[in-house]
Amino acid sequence: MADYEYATTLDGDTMEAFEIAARQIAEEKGMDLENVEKSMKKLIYLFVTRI
Amino acid sequence: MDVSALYEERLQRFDDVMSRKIPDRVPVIPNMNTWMYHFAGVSVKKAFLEDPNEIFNAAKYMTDRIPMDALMSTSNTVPLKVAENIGPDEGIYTCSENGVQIKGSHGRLMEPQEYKLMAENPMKFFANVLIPRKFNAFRNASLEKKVDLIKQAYADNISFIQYNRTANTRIEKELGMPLIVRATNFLAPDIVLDYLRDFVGISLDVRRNPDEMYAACLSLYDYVLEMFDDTATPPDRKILFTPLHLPTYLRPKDFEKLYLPSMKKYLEEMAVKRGYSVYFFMENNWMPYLDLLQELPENTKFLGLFETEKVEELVEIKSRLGSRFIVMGGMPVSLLRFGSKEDVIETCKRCLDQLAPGGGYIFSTDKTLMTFNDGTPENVIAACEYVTEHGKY
Repeated sequence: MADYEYATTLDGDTMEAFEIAARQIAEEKGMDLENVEKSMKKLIYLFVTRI
Repeated sequence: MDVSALYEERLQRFDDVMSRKIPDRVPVIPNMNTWMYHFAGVSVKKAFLEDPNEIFNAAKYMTDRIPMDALMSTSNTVPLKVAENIGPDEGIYTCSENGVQIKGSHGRLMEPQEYKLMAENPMKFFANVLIPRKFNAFRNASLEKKVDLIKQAYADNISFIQYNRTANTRIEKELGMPLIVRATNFLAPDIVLDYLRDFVGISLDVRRNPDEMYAACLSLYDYVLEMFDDTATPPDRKILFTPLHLPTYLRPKDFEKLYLPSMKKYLEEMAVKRGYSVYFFMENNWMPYLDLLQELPENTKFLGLFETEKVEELVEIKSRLGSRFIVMGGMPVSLLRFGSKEDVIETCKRCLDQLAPGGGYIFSTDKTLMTFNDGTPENVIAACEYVTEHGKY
């Protein structure tokens, strides 16, 4: 039995946090935003599977 | 021979087999994991977390004593510092002197009612639903705090990639030893098994929610492919690695409906359309599924390491599926652990006599060499030496 309620929507702000983080990193490091966003896509996956 | 020529010779030997040519001799690629570190007397924790030169030192110690043609990887595949910096007790892995372990049962991260959400948008589902559920630090955190955590994780992951690059570059350039796994891609049903529903959960889903699970896996497949295309460099002569965990726990008819389509779709894209070398670790017993595997594409650079202790089973697999799989394996880890040197060499002879003819075969162990008990050094050395010396075509 799960110790949480199952989700019924995709609502939440963690995705937004990844997007904000990508913009800040790109600006702070002078990197291409698109490349940082691609890395974030992978980081989201790693959070769930490899961390 | 200079080191770069040695590297090229080894990589080409591997690629010749993958390209379905007859190489100069049978390649020797033991299914090596952290055994290498134990053999070399190197702390896994120190190698993975503190000093990348220890990874190199372990590889050098081993390859100076045991002839082989490639390493799959250095086994440092988990970005441990990311979890460390998220917070105490976060993450699902720990690392000790002996290796990396998963902390207990962790895989039930979602409920079957949520398959529809995953099908709708797997990345958003992972970010908005699963990450806050999995990590205490994210649950109830402010947006600003989440941004800080993510930026730290991003930096830690970059450091991890660079750490490994330091070790990998030294191994390839100074030892002439190819590290042949370029990237790892899980098939979607195995992501569900390993990280989302665990074994009991997915076993129920196969019976109670097969259509929802299947639809979610199709979306998850697209996410995995998108990530690969966004972040990976083309593998050249190296391989894309996929471990197969779920299939042999499915009845053949469930495997055919729920898993085989994922295999076919992935191979059609990567091996057929793009011409990449693809490696599936075919874990457990695949004998009941051989007829179904006839649906896989033929004459591609597709390698299967079959986890069978019986050379005769590998012979049957090669006989029935040799146009689809380059076959890898043959040496039981149990024999390396418990057998005599004479028994080990006898098995090597059988592998060469029965599997080598016609090419399409790479000598390896049936299972991963992880703990030091997985094989005595004497036996591992004897096996690799014998096949290197006697495996010429």
